[in-house]
Amino acid sequence: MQDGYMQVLADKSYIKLDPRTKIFILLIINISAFTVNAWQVIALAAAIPLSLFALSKKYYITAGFSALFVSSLLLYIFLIDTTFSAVSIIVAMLTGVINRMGPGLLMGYYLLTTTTVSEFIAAMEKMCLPKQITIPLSVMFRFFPTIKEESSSINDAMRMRGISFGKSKGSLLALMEYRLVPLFISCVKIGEELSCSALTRGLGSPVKRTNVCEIGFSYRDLVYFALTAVTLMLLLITKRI
Amino acid sequence: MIELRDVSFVYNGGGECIRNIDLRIEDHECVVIMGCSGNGKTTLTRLINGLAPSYYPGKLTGETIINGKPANKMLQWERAQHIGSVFQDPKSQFFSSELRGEIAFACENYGMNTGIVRVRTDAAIHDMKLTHLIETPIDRLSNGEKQKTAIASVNVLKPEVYVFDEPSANLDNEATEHLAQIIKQLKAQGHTLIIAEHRLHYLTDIADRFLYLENGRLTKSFTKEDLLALPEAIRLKMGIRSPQKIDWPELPRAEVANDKIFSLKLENITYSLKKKDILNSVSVAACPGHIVAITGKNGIGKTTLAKIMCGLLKESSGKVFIMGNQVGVKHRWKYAWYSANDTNTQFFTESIVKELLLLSVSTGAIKKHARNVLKEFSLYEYKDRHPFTLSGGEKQRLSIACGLLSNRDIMILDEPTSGLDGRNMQIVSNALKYAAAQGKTIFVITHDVELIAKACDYYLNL
Repeated sequence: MQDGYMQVLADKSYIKLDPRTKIFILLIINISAFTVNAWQVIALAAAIPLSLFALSKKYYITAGFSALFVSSLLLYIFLIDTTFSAVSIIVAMLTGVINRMGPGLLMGYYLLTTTTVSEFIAAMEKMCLPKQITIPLSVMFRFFPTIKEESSSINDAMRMRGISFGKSKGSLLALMEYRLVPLFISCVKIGEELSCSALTRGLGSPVKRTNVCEIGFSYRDLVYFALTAVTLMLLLITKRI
Repeated sequence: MIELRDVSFVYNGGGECIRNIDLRIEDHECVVIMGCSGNGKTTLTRLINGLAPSYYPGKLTGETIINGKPANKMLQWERAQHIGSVFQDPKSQFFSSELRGEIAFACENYGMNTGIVRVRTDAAIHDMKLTHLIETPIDRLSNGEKQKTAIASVNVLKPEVYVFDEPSANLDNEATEHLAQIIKQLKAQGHTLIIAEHRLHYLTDIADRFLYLENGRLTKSFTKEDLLALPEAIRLKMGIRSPQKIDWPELPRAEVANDKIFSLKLENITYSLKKKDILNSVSVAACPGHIVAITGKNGIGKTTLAKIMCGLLKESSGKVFIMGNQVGVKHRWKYAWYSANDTNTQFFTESIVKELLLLSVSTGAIKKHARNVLKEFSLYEYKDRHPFTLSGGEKQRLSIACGLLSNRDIMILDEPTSGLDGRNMQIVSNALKYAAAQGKTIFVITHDVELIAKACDYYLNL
């Protein structure tokens, strides 16, 4: 019943990229988000995930986010320099958040919905990362849907108890505590069981792991590598000036 | 062959322990470990598969010998080649989101060449009859299918020994039958099987020996005949569940009638998600003091129905009446309480007393009520403990107690006895009867026939 992330098998509707390409794009988008002020670079960074959604025929997502990014960029370009008031500061903050965080979040969503844990591990092993990095990262990757599921059952339990704002003990701090403490405890427990299951299946052997999951680059990866490289170059150029 | 010679084990930090166990398990033998929760069943399985002390640190004395070699000379990953482990909760055993990747995982860890990994993976999938599910993401599988996947993902390594820790705890009756088939198959293939379990009936015809753990000691050993001959009174006192399959009790259906005022009545409830009907025109009704069992296969929509009853989900169509009045989804929680099956996400405070009195004005009368409930549910001695330090059965009772204290007339409980031993099942069953005697209307989602036979008055089969 729960709709998990990471279900390539179920979500064949998305176009496929190699996980390494996706990780590279995500990295560059995030670097550009926090270093650049030139709107051209921001626009290019937003265009990459948008085009991926468009190619996957997710037209609603593409149209919605395109509209959001374009209007936010336009506001950013034309309003900031022309006026200076309390309004423009708020607008600047708002558009700043959308422009800088938006593309990264969208790309992150794409990465999570289209990559299986096996593919993720395979990608990291092909990049020759050591086990000490591969294993914790893939466990983290594996944990996103779990956290979502656990947090939704905590939410249900809170509603059943009637814990919400405005109640005598419903201060913001208490609400945070009620939400986070059970989440931590239950994630620790699941993590422990997961470790046991992995250890009794030979994780931790000194042998070099093999991987049956086939990943590889196609012409699409090439195109997206090129696009991302252009973003990176633009980023470096604007930084230099 | 596995041999334990005078083995004792205490976890760092205390808790359940194992004392002076001498045990010899021959090749091809199938041994069931029985005993109440907290008496050392899980710890004994961990001593055999090596997780204690390699993952769960503690003080180990005595000698464990696996296939003639001392186990303390083996590293965890070496031991895993000989001993495969299957655990209780299917949702926390998987790394991957797809069947093939999950089953290949163990082989990959040993660096087998990819050709061999593929052959072994396909063989294991075929062996566990999972071929038709290759394309299904793991989190869409039913619990029974997940448990088969867990067995397959151990099966690829071709271990001689399998250790199971309560494999049927989250399975419905049909899935348990399938599990029994697989265990039989593994036994016929010559594997040694060690199964810690509360539900016994599906193992009675398969196992060679039944061991009883009490306070960390192996105190009794039964053959099938001994176990079946055990008088019920003694068996209940030992906290052992029935070794025989219990017949489905003859109960009346919880039907809607026009002449009665029901505390809760559902009329033609339909629930669809993404154009798929999960519930199709379900009607049910109950009066105060009734305990209604909601039964049906895993995934048929029992939990969905419960969530509609208490307002956590909105029905697609149909009507919900409480005390004769139609009540909208937003207001139902004021009348109906829901205890989820997974108790780990249910508790919010740092002591049992605080948990019970959460959000209620603590007057003398309420405190007295809370005290009575705690005593009735055998929780009074733990009243200052943190809820997360309780055992599974105790958490279930605490959740029911919170429901009683919430002063709602309708209580809906989701699988309150899954994974409980005979003694705890008995206490939960008494707790339900106590609540019903207080005038509550109780719906209990369950596939535990023993509980239905003991406590329920009506049934609804989805």
